[in-house]
Amino acid sequence: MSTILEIRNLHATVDGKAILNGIDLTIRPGEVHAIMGPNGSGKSTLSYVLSGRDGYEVTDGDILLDGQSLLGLPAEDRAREGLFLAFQYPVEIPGVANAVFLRSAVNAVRRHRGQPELDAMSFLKTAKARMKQLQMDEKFLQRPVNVGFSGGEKKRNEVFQMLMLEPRMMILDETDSGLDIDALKIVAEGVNALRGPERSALVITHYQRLLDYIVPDFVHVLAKGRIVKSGGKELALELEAKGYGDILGEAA
Amino acid sequence: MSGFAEKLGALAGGLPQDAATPLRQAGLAAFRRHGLPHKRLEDWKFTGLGDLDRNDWRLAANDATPFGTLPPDASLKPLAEAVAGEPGLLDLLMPETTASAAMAALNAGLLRNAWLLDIAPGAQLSQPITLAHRGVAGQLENITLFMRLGQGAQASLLESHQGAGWYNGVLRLRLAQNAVLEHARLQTGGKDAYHTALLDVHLAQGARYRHASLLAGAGLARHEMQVCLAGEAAEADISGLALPRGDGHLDHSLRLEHAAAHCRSAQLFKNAVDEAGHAVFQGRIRVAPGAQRTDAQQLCRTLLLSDEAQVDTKPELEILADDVSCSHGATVGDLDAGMLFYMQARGIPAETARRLLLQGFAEEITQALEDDALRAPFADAVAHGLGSAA
Repeated sequence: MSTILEIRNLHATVDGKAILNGIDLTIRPGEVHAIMGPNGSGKSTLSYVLSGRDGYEVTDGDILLDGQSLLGLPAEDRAREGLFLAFQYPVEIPGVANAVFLRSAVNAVRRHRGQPELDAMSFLKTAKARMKQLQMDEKFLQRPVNVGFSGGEKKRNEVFQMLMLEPRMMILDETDSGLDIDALKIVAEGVNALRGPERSALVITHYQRLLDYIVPDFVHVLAKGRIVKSGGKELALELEAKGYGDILGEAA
Repeated sequence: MSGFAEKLGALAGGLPQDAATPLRQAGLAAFRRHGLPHKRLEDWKFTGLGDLDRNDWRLAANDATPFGTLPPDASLKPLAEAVAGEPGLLDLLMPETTASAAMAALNAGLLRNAWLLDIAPGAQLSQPITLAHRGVAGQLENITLFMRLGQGAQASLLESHQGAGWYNGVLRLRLAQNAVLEHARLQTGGKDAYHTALLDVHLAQGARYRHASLLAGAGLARHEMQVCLAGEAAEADISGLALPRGDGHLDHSLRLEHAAAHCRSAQLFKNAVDEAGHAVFQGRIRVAPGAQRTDAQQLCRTLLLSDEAQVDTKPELEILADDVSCSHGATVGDLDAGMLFYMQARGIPAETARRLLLQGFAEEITQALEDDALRAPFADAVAHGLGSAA
């Protein structure tokens, strides 16, 4: 059976310190996997290593997207190959309008796929439709990227970008943090709208709450840079009920 | 005496004898005494003009007014004619005779293409006044302008400098009570161009002045500004963007004086220095005794985009009143790695990401302009300045 993302024995260091200590994970088309874990378990490091951030060094193992190794590819190439990281802390970019930023991204991805670039009119038309879907005000298109956005608006903006870029592999890093329940539902609906047989997701979260709305096929528990337990969606409920201490105790 | 000052006799030989002759005499005498400014002068610590000595210059024989079409509320006359009719002008135009003011003295000494522009009291100009100069290689273009806005007049001024050669200009602006002027200045000369300019602004009570300067060309450019808030409740917003690259040397030097109480000033200067470029920002704020309730802010931010890029910044505060709110700050850094990664993580190529971030950095200066008719050409010139860098 084909896979979209395959992580093999992944070891990574940050500033010479080992953070990921041998992660194995296979994500097939259409699947949604959740990674849960306590603070400091390596969740965010995993998301940065997958997306190719400088300073995160892979010391062993491999990451394959559609069978092709991503190691050695810069972040921009990984994104164009279809990997999308929704940031835990979306970055503010003063002076660069959301629309300019996003159109550059959409067209970079389209060029890579051999599709014609979107002109300003068709870009705006698509963008406005997606914003409506996320109940975002159109004024956010002209505002500088994430500048002055509330926590919830920033997360919604991440999902908006994801809807525009239509990635093959979505990685959501703590997308639920800073969201109230209404915003959480809207964001989850956005993600669910993208679910399909040709697209997969990796949802990284500390809390089970988001998984009520983005229901995963598999749940993995990360601790000290390794997956210590895997199961179905019921594992998330178990974690919520017992806390990480019990589960980690069992796994040890 | 420098080699250049020796050649002055020939340059000044063909100048007319008229009511402005006392200005020429005073200017030439002062310049002969001091010669070209050099780095041993405190005000010129980071910018020496010795290179000008190595060229032979001929004075441009261009007497055409640099102003574009003027509205009915504006009246233009040659400066010598204006001085003949209003002898009091001589005092206002008399150059300082210090060594650091030698370029303005030279400007007065070679005074020929010189104009007085008066904007009638209460006039509300709907279109910007344009002031354009395009220099020619080997020529010194020496332009002297005096512009007065009558009480309550409102105007915009779009000033642009292009081409080659050497421009040595003085622009004096006098804003009467409650006059409002917004002034965009674009210097986008070729890499062999020299540019030395003095902008002298005097604000009466309640007058408001807004200035945005772009230095994005020339091998060596210094835009020197002196702004005096002379009447109560006057306001000045002064901003500038320098984009040196190649071995370009671009200098914004500002002296701002709060001479009256209840005035507000804000300075925002940005530099994005690439290749072996060199940016200079000198900003002096003086708050005179009695200028209480002064609000004076200054910020200079610099991006150094290559290992060879250089910047020198020198803020100076001299505060002689006790009830004031003053601040100054300077930052120097590279493009933000987190922002670059965020853009690349969306598939944007590194070069495009860099260019977008630089445009974003510059945007704050462009947005400082409120008049669309000034902001649009400013934005175009910034985009061009950044584009040619990529």
